[in-house]
Amino acid sequence: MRWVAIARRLLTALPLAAGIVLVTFFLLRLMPGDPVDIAMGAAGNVTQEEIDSLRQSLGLDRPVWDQAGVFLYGLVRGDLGESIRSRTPVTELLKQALPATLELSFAAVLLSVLIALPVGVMSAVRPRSLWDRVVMSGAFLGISMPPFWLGLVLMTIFSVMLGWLPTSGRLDAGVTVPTITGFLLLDTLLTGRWAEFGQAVRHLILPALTLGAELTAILSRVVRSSMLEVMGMDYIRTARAKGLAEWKVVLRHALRNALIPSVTILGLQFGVLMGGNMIVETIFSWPGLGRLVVDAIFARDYPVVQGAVLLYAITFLLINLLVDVLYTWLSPRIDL
Amino acid sequence: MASLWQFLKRMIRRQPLSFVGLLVVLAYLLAAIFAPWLAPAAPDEIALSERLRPPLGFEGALPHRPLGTDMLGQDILSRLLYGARISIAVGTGTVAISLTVGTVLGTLAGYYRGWLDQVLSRIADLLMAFPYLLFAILMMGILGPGLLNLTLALTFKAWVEFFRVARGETLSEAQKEYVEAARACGAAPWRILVRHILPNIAHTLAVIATLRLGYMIIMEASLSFLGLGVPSNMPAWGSMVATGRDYLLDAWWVSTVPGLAILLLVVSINVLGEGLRDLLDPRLRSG
Amino acid sequence: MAKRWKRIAAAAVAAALAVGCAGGKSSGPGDQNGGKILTITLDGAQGRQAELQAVAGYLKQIGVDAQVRVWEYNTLVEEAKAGSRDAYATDWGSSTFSPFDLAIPKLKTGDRGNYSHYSSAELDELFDLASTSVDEGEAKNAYFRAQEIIYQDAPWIFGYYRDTIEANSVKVKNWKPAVDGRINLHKVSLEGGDTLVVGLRADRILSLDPANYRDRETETVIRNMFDGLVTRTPEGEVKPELAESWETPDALTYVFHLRKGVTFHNGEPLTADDVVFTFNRILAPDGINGQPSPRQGLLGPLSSVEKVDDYTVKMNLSSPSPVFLQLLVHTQIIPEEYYNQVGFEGFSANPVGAGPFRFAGGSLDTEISLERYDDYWDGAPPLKKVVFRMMPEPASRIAALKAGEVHIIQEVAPDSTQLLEEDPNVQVQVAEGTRLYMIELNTQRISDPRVRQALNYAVNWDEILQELYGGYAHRVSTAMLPSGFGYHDGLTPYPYDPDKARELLKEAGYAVK
Repeated sequence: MRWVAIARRLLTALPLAAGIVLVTFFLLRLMPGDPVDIAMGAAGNVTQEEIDSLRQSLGLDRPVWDQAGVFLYGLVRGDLGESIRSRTPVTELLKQALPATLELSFAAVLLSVLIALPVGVMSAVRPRSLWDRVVMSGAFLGISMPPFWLGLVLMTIFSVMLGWLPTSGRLDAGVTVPTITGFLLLDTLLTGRWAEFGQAVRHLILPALTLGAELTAILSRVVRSSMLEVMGMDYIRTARAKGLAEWKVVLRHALRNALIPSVTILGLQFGVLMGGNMIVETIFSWPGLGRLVVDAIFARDYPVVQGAVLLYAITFLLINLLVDVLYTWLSPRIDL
Repeated sequence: MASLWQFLKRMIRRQPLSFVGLLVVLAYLLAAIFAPWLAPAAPDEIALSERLRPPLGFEGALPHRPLGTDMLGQDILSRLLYGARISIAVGTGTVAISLTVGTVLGTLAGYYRGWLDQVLSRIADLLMAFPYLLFAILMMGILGPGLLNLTLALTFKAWVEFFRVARGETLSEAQKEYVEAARACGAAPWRILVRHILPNIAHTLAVIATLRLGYMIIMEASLSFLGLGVPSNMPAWGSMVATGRDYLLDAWWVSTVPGLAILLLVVSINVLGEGLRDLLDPRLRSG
Repeated sequence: MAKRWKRIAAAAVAAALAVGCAGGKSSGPGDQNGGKILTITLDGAQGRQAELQAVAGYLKQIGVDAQVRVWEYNTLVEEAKAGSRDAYATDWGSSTFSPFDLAIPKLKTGDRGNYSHYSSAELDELFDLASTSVDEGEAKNAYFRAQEIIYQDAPWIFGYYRDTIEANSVKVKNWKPAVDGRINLHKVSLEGGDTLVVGLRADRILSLDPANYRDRETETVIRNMFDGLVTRTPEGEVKPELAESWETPDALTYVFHLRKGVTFHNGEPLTADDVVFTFNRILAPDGINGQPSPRQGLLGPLSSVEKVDDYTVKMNLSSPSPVFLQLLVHTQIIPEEYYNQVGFEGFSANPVGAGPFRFAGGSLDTEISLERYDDYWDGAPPLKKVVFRMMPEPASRIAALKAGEVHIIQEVAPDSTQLLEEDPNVQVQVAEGTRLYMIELNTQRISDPRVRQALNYAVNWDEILQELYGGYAHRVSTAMLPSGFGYHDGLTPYPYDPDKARELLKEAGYAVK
């Protein structure tokens, strides 16, 4: 393992993340719309003096370069500022929202893998069969589905019409779970709350399905094709000739090598997942980063958007690094 | 023309499903072009007495409104036809521009290397780390509404993908002997790029372009779903789905039908793209 | 080969756009009588798109070339303020039941909400007079005259206010929606249970600190935890709460007598010190963690607060304010000692107030749980626990109510009322709203009042409102709400008269159809 290479990657990631946030910083201030005005709401009982004084105390009337300097100085000290609307420190808001988004993303990935692996393997084992065709068609549908539509359709059918699954939030109403990690699945298990664990799972299903639809489709195809490729290779034939049971051949040898491209795809698609969760979180009222950042953009709540983008960038870069590390671990011939 | 015909015949034989996809895409294109003649009504023709009627086959449907009406009594079919124009225009516009920009920059970066390559690659990395929708929202906020602005907003990130592929392919092509030979003969760089390298990477780029087209259409729909799309009285599919959200319980078709339209178009494009990939460039095959 | 395809495809798309844009079945504008055609763009956010399209339809019938454009709301407001648009669908909320925070900021020259760039010196004078006069009769007359002017000048296509439609399970007893949108659960009870869940339309509550927010949903939650000096009945009348009684020795002074024996959730008794502390915190330029409170404007012309004795507080105003008591409804009292002990962040995390319910946990973006405060001065509430749950998706609120997951929901769309009315377990209730919706006109661009009047005559609002809002929206004649002070009953909203509209347009030199 090349620790030096990893360290170097981490070091280059930091200025990249900072660059991304700076770009966002300036882009935000180019948008028309005054955050203070919006924070005060379109209601009558606010005076222009109030708005001006609030703007001044927030430092928003200073030239852009000044503001950038203040922001960067704060960034270095770990201070991301406060939300203009609610005066809550941005780090607080991010701390609350991030576990929700991560949990949803992981659930989506997990669901995708749980579905795509067996489906892809079975397809590869029986190429050109009816099952294979069904799977391939399903995969096409999966990548072509507009996520906002899929979410609404799933919600309409399973929550509104059938009432099997809940429509919003992470838990049923009035239920609280002590926050240890912020991941409900973990927190409920750690504190022995089995009923709440079930609730958390039920609330995760629809959003995770929606978010993971495209990934499931892509993954099943990748698994299938890399399995097909591997199954045709010599060492598989050797294993078969040696008299190993078919399923052992499939699982132990073929699958292992099929995992490599899958891991790469997962990494690449994670960025897509992070981007897609904005819509899914809005539809299912999921209290995560995506919803936070969309609302903040509409409300021109600059510090929140900046903080969220920083978090997105860091997560993205870290996941990329993780995937590359996994890749080299799985396939030692390739260097970092 | 003869080679095109031959190509189509090959497609029908080898990838019949892609051919169907091609037909569907062409059908959408024709529908968009001839919308004024195909549509039963004007897309913004309001008939408040015919609100929220279901599509044919359901109770209360109107024969002259085959796909139902929305909350203003507007004909959903007509709105779909006119909406196709926006989606197709934005989708193809984005792909066309980002393909061009990405290819030019990518081949230049891959061929010349050096500081140009470094700078462009850093910018590409920076843009890649932005979630797509977030970036598009920010750009739309800055540029303001408009068909062209929407296309630009989407292009800003889309070119990176073409850039990367073009660069990668150029890098590998540039090592090959025929390029060395051309260089040795004293051929000008641009000549090498245009006459030799570009045609060889064109297939790959064409396939990717087709595959990204579907994604762009979904992006446009997502933006107009959020209320950030093209601000015109031309109905965009995404905003049709959005305005139907209040009526999911009793008038589900207002949201569902436009979504199905998007799905069908994108599936056809993807199927077509897959078939193209198999036919044009078997090296890229991944199942 | 692939390149050729691309070229063909590009050409086809270009042809499509060219042909399509030239063709098009949109009903065209008029072309008679030689005058120029009036072209107007109607701008609005997605939520008003349907309404604007209907309005455009009516305008086209009389020969106006009307187009609709959908914007993101805040971008549109900026454009409107810059004066670059023609007509825009906006809205404005009022919380004082008076033109003080509605007509005045919208139509006074240069005022904060004046997006129509309208200016009338006579109107400004009338506004100034009415908003500071202590003589109700004089103020009313001034407002009446103001409305007549506004009516004639028609700086807007005058609009409507909507009913607040909320729904509850039939098991909920003794609750009805309030005009100001607040959900007050003090005397509410639940048949067969003691935990009530409310589905809020917000997707997050901004804060649990009564001086650090600005929106109605947060206010609803806060006013169940905190009490103010005065409060409002569901019909909008001011009534005493923590203050038993008050006098006004002169126009600039209010003296409040506090109730005795009131305690905060932590047992601390409520005295004048807490009242003074609460108001000073809002008045100070750095009262909220070094920054001014966003609720300063809700204090009106209040300049200082003094303690007279343990249960008496004196408030000094800088100018007379007939709406002062209405404004006071929106300020809630916090305990001084506790706040000083735990500080700004500690207080936001664990708020303590004097309201019927105490904070029991939750997070601002998911749900807030409250539980009964047994020693509430007005009697312990019947409900043991209350949960305010964020449910911004309308369909999920309705589904949850029908499924019995929540007991009260906010904001039911007019089209969904029928669905709920058919359900025997659910009850739909209505209250008059306090948010005004209108289409503002850029009076710099559309400078001829005849044209603006014509636009008003041309639209059949009754039909639009009936179809879009099912009778849950009501027209207003100008820029004031019927529930507000000084509403001119004598003025009727512009009738639907397309002939009159055509006549006015012709007079102004435009072609009509």
